[in-house]
Amino acid sequence: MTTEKLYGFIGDVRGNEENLVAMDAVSVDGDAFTRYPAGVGVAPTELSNRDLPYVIRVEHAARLGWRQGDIVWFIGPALAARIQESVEAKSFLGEAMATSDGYFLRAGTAADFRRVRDTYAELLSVAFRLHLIDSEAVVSEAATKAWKLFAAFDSFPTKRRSINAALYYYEVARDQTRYRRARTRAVQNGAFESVDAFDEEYKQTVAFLQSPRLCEVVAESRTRMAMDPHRSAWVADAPTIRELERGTDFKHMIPAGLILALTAENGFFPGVSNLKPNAFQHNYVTQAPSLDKHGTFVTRNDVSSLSEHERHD
Amino acid sequence: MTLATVQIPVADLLPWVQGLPFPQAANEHRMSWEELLLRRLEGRLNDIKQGANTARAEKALGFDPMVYFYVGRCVPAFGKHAFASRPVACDPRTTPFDTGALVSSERFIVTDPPVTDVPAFVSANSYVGQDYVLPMSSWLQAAYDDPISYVDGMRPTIAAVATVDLDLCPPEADERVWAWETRIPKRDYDPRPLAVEQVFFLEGERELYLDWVEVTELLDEQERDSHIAFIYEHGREVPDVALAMLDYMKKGLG
Repeated sequence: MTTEKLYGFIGDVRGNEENLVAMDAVSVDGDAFTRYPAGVGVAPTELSNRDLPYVIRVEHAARLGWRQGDIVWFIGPALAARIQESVEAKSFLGEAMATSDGYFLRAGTAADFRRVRDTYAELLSVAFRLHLIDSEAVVSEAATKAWKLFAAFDSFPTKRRSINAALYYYEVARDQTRYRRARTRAVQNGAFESVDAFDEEYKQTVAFLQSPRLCEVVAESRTRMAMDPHRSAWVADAPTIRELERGTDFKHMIPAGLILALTAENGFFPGVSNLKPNAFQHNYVTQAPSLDKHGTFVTRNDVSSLSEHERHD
Repeated sequence: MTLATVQIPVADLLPWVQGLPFPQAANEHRMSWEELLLRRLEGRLNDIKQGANTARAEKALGFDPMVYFYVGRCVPAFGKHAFASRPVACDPRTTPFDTGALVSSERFIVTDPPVTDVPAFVSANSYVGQDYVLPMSSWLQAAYDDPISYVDGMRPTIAAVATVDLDLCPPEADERVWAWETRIPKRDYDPRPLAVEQVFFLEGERELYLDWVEVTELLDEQERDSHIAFIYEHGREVPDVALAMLDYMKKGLG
């Protein structure tokens, strides 16, 4: 039986207050220390005593459930506060351990870190974009919070991040300089082949977000939410979903939008109480991800049987 | 008529390397890793606070505050960011050992006869400007079958300083005994003191750095555009910074 256990982690704390980053894990077994690098596919190395002063000890490390090969997921204190306020991301902290320094830690593999953060990034991207439709959200800083939360989870130079950055600077911050820079960055970082290609996708996204029916749905859900504080935003009925799907190339946004709603209603993310798998998971989730009973993210591709009855199952 | 092949001294192929030995670097410097990296890349070195160990060593060595690099060596404990550069507008001093190790309590560097006047010893073994290139190249060829072994951190067969006795150095003595250190005064430079060739970020951290660059008040809008373009041109995300830097230097050696 191995006696190897988590000793601490290596990485920068200062400067990562708003970030979600992977840290090298350091384990101890007797007097032997091993470093498990944060990068995907990098082999562990022995850590010399000379390097121990660089290791940040983790108090109560056993609580993290670290297993051999795991790295440490670091959630900065400012980001953790944002996550706690977020319906979409709250479950991410469910398995995390708070530290006395204000940051949170989770243990998991480097590959899982990338996969899980990307899954949340997709949800948070939808949440951010739907906030743009809601003028109240833009004015109340909710859209700004949604952008910052999304940007922390999606830290790779993706098309999604590039478009969202431009949307944020143009639609929310009203900052032309940064909007222009977001366009330039989108090409410099390789997410888009050209500014023209970026502009085309940006234009399509804005057109979708401005489509009258989608705006109506958001407005209706806001009214419903005001009447029922337990209901989250952006719940649409089945015919509306189908109608929206027919009219857009951005189909993935619709079911993911539903997830936002049902995350709060049915709590099927880990860390959220009242876990209740239901027909929604089997029928309504298309390209958007959900979690199976093992905590693994899965996707489904069938929304055809969506019905009002099942939605409320 | 045959054209003579121009031999580039091997040490000239080795960049100056600096990383962030995590995480105390940022804590001791009392600034975020993003600001520390920006200041190092842009040559705005004056406001970087020295760590306690460095300040102690500089006092013992009689140095003014300096910024330190290894020539062609990247220690595996490097953090999530490291960069390779070459001097262009600075006045470096280079020694064939880590000067900090000379005054550390570990006593890794053993000489025969023992050093009695540390500042004088360092001064006598320091090269000005690019003067280190030829002696370092000669030493690399004498001390290793292949200079790549130096980049890999292997122990040499002979020390570059005649009075350093490798056999007397303790078994736990590491590359600080033989890695070539170069240093420049810690001040703000204009133009930049170094031409940065390559910056390595741990995967997923380049955009985070640039998000910070996007809002920092240390840069005006023109400088911001320029720095962002520079990072996209020279900055690469990798799964392991130290391994990537080693690979980069080995390729440079051919």
